[in-house]
Parts: sequence; structure tokens; C-alpha cells
Amino acid sequence: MTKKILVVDDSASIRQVVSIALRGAGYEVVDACDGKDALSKMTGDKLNLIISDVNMPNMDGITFLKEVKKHPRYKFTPVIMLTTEASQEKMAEGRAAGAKAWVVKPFQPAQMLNAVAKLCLP
Amino acid sequence: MSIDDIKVVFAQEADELLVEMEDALLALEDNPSDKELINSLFRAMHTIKGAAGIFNFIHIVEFTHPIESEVERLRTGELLVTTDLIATLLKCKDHTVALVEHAMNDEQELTVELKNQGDAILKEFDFDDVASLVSGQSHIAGEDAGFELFDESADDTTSDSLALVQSANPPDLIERIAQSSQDTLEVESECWIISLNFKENALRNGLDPLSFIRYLGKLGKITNILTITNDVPDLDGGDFEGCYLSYHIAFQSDSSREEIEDVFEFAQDDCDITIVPSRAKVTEYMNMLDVLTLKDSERLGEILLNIGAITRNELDKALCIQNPDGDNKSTEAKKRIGDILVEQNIVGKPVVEQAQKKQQQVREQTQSIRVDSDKLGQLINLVGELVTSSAAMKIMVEKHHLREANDVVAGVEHLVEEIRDTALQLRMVQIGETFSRFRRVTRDVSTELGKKIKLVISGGESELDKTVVEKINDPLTHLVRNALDHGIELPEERIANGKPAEGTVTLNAYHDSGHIVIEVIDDGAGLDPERIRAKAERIGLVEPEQTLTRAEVFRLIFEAGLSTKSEASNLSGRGVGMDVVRRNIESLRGSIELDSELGTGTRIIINLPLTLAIIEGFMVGAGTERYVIPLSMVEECVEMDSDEWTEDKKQNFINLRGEVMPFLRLREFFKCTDGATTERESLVVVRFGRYKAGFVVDQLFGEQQTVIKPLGSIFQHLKGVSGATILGTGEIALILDVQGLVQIASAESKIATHNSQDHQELHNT
Amino acid sequence: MGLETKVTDKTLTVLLDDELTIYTANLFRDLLAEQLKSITHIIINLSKVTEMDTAGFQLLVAIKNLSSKYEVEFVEHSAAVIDVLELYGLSGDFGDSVIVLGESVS
Repeated sequence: MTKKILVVDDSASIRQVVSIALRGAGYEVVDACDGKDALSKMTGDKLNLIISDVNMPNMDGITFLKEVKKHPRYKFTPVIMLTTEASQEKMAEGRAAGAKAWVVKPFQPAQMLNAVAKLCLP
Repeated sequence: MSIDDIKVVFAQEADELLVEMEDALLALEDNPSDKELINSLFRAMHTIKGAAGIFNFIHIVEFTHPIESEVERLRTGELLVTTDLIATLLKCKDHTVALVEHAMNDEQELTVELKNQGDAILKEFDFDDVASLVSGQSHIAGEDAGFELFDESADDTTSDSLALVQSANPPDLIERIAQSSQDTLEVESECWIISLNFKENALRNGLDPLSFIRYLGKLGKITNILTITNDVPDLDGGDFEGCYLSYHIAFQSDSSREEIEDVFEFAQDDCDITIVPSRAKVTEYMNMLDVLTLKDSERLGEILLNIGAITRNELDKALCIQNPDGDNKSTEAKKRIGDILVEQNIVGKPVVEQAQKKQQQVREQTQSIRVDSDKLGQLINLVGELVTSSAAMKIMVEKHHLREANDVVAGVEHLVEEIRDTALQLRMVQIGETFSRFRRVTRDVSTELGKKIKLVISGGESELDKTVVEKINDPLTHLVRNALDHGIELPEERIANGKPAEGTVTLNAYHDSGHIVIEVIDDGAGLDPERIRAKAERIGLVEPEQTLTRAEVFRLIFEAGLSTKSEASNLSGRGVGMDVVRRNIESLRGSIELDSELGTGTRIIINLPLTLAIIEGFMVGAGTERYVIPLSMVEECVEMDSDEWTEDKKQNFINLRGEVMPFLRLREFFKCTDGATTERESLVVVRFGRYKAGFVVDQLFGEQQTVIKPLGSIFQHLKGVSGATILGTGEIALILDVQGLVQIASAESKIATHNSQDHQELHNT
Repeated sequence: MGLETKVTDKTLTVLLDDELTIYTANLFRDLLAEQLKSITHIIINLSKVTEMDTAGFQLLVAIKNLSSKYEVEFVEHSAAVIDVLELYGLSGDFGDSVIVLGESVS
């Protein structure tokens, strides 16, 4: 069964790079441009992993994460947070909200794939 | 790799631990309160018990358990180390050796003999808590001893993690590993053992152990896995969103520790991870430690990190345990990082020990490096040049009023001074070694002469220049032999005089204002001033009517031809008299004094400069030049207009208070014609041995510490000068070769100065 | 919701027809617990388990642990179940003849 990953980032280019890399590795990818958009796309289909940026318009990553943790269908889904230059404050906030996996931007697609693979192999 | 092979590993490990235990016990005899030693006792018993449990060596577990408890009481201070206890613990050690041996023979039942022996030893402990021990024994003596232990420690997360180490390999796993690798030889030694203990929230946080274990499979081969499901709750009422599993994974891979740790990167908060390296890896670490070139003062954690035995993450955690408050001020003795790493089961003890050994080696290497003493001499000479250059630079800067260069000059000057001091320090050695050589001499002389003599050495740590040490050896030998031969009496003689039969010769050294003082003291017969005086008169050293102080009488000892014993023993110095000793010491710019009490003993005090590179100098001026006379050779200074001395220009001698001596006017001798002659000339009386001479100088500047800079070989034929020194002003002053000058002066004067008898005669005419 | 139960002659047959994961484990637990009265034999049919995670695995362990009171049998393991059991080195413990020992561990 193909693993399905939701990618949330306001940068179209990052979404694309990540998506291409993930699809190339054999994952199915859904993408969204911010937290709100992402929630609207979480309609009951199984998600194996969520990758989310922290800084986004409309609904930022931390708020989105908190929403995910409340969602009956998705609350146990592993989440990878994307963060720039490891901003300590945001990280602490994210940790408190239950974020366990972090990938620091900029990253190579291979790094991303490794992080993803630790939480769900294709 | 069969189960038997693994048992052999246990035997080896037990053997090492027991040797350690014995060492610790023996050391405890001297340091009964050393916590580290007690800890290593505990470790030995604890580890053997734990490991024996895994192999179901019930007899070893039963025997070591109560010992461990007893040692634990030592650790808490409830019990104190006594000689009896050490003796009992040594028996425990021996008995454990026997038990391990027995276990290796695959016999289930203990022989009656061994059993009785063990019981007898355990009875030696003064158990007041027998009941609890008995229950403890029955508890672990259960059929699944290994698992029992495991469960115990798994429940109690705060328990000593060492217990976890051993129990982390329950028999089942070991059997399985052994079995699975039977067909592929040497597989086991390549396996890492990874233990994962997931916390309850792991699954809720989206961290499924399955994912990590699957991913781990990408880095190598999971040759075996043991999933511990004991904590999974009952169906009725259990919350299956929680995680209750732990795993032991035998993992075959070439990956580094860092790479393996990285697999569980995201699970760090939600899982206790223990990575035990494969034996192949341990060997690799050991080999790396062997060839590693350590930087001075590299810390243990960094070393282990460098060879990959631990990860940065693990080191940080260990440092955190070591210093939980994050402040470095805590005065409490901190646990050593190596011990923490071992306790946390991050790295094996042998690796830590190897690293510590390596560290120690490096430290020792840093403590002493063999250097050719010529090279040091060369360095000191160069430093001398540097001092000169720096002084020259200072003069230049002042001369050209380069004010902006002042700071730089001051900085350089300061550094040069430090370099000079450090360089001199390099050649300093302790005098202890020289002293120690006399132990053998003392022993030999005692035997040969039938005396009982004890040599006491103190102050052996006092340091002085190596060149001085080398030159002091001969005179010192002479003095010690004198004390042994002539000083200390025969035992019967001593007893008759109310002294202990055993005589004592003491060698003592201490520092005193830039000098080292060496004392040779004996509690022997002492010297008789009357006899010395009589002898001195007989050989014409002293006139009968001369009054001499006690000190002056004893000083006569150092004159040639004076020996208080009529016949010298074959041991006493090869025809060398005390006068030679004195000359040797004075040539080192030192001095020697003697004091003695008839019947009580003799004390000889040698005063030496710490180094031949620095002397206490007395500075004088002639013309515009300055000269330094070694202070120890200066007898007195008398002003020109004093009526105490007169100059006999015809015969070229000076009469000072009736004593005639040759003299040199330095201004004339060194041809310092420039500069006005002062009317106030002074006379400096110098003494070398028993030769005296006077130097007429224009100015007296007084005492000062003088760094001697040897003259280059081009000046080696220069008469009357032994070296040079740089003055604070940047000027150069020559250091006078007193011995040479005295000879020149004697030759120039019409008087012979070979002995004071001639003086006397001349004086009387 | 995929849990079909059938009781015949004191034997409870359960067909799990869904993912057996953290999202369903507690639910299955409740549904099962209701059925445990007046039976002696439990047969768990795993043929329709499309997906299993560690939470689901733990539920299986809990069911297996009922064997002190009931006769418990797991049958027709699906590929998803076998995959997890093998990875955990426990394929023999949840016995079924379907199990094939293979390289799926790595």
C-alpha cells in the first residue's frame, strides 16, 4: 500500500521540490499552501505523514500542528516540522505542541527523504 | 559462535573484574576511605552477579549477591573498611574465582566442599539483616534468574543502570544470537546490540517503533530481535494508544555509532536507547586508541567522541549528568565522565580504561620529555643573547626617543624575562635522586665497618640546576663518607655513650633566598676543636698566640693537610681532603660551613646558587665600566681614605690592618682610561680558597642578581673575565674571574702568597 | 466499521475487517470485551487486516494473553500482520500455518 504524505508549505518551489523527491521515492503526495488549506484537504483519507513549514500565512505551522493533534482521524499521524536556521523559540513552542521531528532548511532532498524514511518507509 | 564461546567471554570478564577487586582491596589497606576503590569493589561484584544471572550460574549469583550488599553498605558509609573485612573480601574474591571455574565445567551441582567453603566465608560477615538477604537469595535463585533481574531493573528506571547492562542480554537472546549465528561463523562478534525502551507516549506522538526498526534494516542486517511484551496491559481496560514495548536487537552493520544513533533521532524524547557496540567495533575502538595521537590535555569525552565510541549527543547527556545544575562552581567532587559513560552503558569499560590509559600516557609524556642537556644549555645561551638584544633595543629606542615604541619594548622586555626564567627552570632537577644514591653507600659502609647507620633524606624535592647537581655529587660523596667513616661510632661505643646503637646520617635540602642549602648531619662523635687547633698549630696554619672563634676553628678543617683521624680508612675519599671539597663548592660559587658538638654530632651546611646561570653579584665600577664580582667571594669593602690600608707601590701589595695581600687596580688592569678618576677609591677584598687579594675600584654599586652570559669562544683566552651580564640600564658588565685575577695579582706583586706562613714572614720583615 | 463477530457453541469468531492501528485498537478492544461473556474459545481471523501498527500489535498481544482463561487462536494472517510479527521476531508466537519465514525482516 502506497504511503501518503501531506506537504504543507507556503513556498510553491519548496512544495514542488519536496513533492518530486517524495514521489520519486515512491510516496503519494498531497500538498497545501498553509495550515488552513491543509486542514481542508484532510478529509478522512489515510495520511502516513505530514510535513509542515512553521512560518506560513493564514495558519502557521504550530497552530496547524495543534489542530492536527486534536483531529480524531489524524491526531497520531507523525509530523515533520520544517524550520529555518533552527529558531530556538519556535522549536520550543513546536516541541510543546508535540512536534518530534525537525528538518532544518535549507535541506537537500536526500536529507528530507532520510527523515521521512525514519518515520515511514515507502 | 556458540553459547560456550560466550561463556568464555564471561569467564574472561569475571577474571578481569576479580583481579581489579583484589587490587582495590590491597590498595584499601592503605586508603581505607577511598571511595573510588570501594566503588570498584562494588562494580566487580555487581557486574559478575549480573552476568552470572544471564547464564543461569545460580551458585555465583547466590554467593556474590550478599557480598554486593555488604560492599554497598561500605559505599553508603554504613560499614567501615577494616583489616578483617578486607581479609574476608579477599577470600570472597578467591572463592568467586573457584565458582567461575566450576561454572565453566558445565556442572550443575556445586561440590560439597565448594558449598561449605562459600557458606563459611559468608558467615564471616557480621550480617544483622540475614532475613532480607535470605529472601533476596530466594528471589534471584528462581528458575528465570536472568529475566527476574531484567524485570527488576526495567521497572525501576532510577536503579543502577549497570543492572540493565547485564540483564539487557537475557539468556533467551544470547541463545538466539548464538543459534542464529552458528551457521555463519564470527557473525556474533560483528553484531551491535541495540536496546530500545519506548515510553508510553511514543505512539501518540506519531513515533511507531516499527518505522524505526524498518529503517534500521536499511543500514544493515537485523540478525535477531527480542520484543519484550510483558508490559502490554490486559485487554480489559488497557489503553492501546500507549506504548509498552521494549526491544533488544542484534544488528549486523558496518555503520558507525553515530549513524545508528541517528536512526532514532526523532525518538530521542520518547525512547531510552542503548547501543552496545559489536565486539568487532570494540576491537576497532581499541585499535584506534592505540594509534591515536592525542593532543595534550585532550578530555576523555573528546577522545571517545573522536574514535566514534560515543556520539556528541551521548557526551552531552553524560556531561549533563555530571553537572546537572549547569554551573561549574559546585565544589562537590564530580563523577568522572568515563564512569558516567560506563554506568549509562554507552561505552564499555575496557574502552574507557584504554582511553584513560592513553590519556595518562600523554600526560606522563608531557610531564617529562628527555632532552639533550646540551640543547638546553644552547637554549639558555640563546636566551642570554636575547636578553642582550632586548637590552640593546631598549637603548636604541631611548637614544632615538622613539616614544611610540616604548610599549612594545616594555612588552618584549617582559616576555624576555619570562623566557629567561622559564628556560632556567627547564634545567632544574630535584636533588632527591642524588641523595638516594647514598642509600647504597650507607648500606655498604655499615656492613663493612660493622656499624649500624640509618640514612634519612628530606627535602629531596628541592630543585636546582642540573649542572650544579652534577658538580655537587663528588663533594657530597666525600662529606657523606666522612660522616659514615669518621662521624658515626661503632654500636658498642655509642651504647657506652648513652646513644642509640643505630647512628643517623641526615641529608637535607631546602631553598633559601635564591640559594639551595644542603645539609649533611650526623649524630656521631663530633669534632674536638682543641685537637683541630693543635693540629693546625703543628702544621703551621695558626700561630699559638692567635685567638680564634669557635667557627674559625672549625673553618680550619677545610684547610689543606688537616685531618682529625691519624689514619684514614680505606673507604674515605681517595686522598681527597676537605680542602678539595671546599674548593669544589666555591668554584660553584657556593660556600660551606661546619658546626660540631663533641659527642653529639656534626652538621655541614653547603650553600649553593640554584643555577650557574644566575649569581648574586657585587657590582663595582672602574672608569666608565662596570664589573661584577661573585658576592660569595667578597670578604669586605674598605674606603680609600680609610687609614686602615696602605698601598706599597714598590712591591705592589696592600697592607690592610697589618695583613698584606696582592692587589689589582681594575682601572689600570682593564685599561679603562676614559672617565675621570674618582678621588674616592675603594678596596674590595676577595677571597678564593685561602688566597686573598684586593681589587681597587672607583665606585661601589652593591649587590645584585646577575644573569651570567658566557663569553663566546673568541674571548676564551681573555684573562680575568669569566662572563658578562646585561645590566638593567642595557649596559654590559664583565663578571670577574676572581681565581684568575688573584693569581695574576700574586704574580705581579713581589710577595708569594702560597700559604699564610709566607705572609707572616713577609709581614714580620 | 469492520468487526464481525459470530458466536457458535461457546466459540467467538472475530473477523477484523479494517486497519488494526492506533486509531482502531481501543475501539476493537471495547467491541471484543463486550463479547467475552459465556464463551470458551476465541478465533481471531486476521485475513482482512489491511494495515497493522504497533498499537494494533499490542492489542493482539493482549488478546493472546487471554489464553489463561480462553482458548485463543489466530488464523489467516494477512500480509500486513505477518510483516509486523516477523519484524518483531514473534511470528511463531501468534501461530498460523500461513506464516512463511522469509527475508521480509530486512
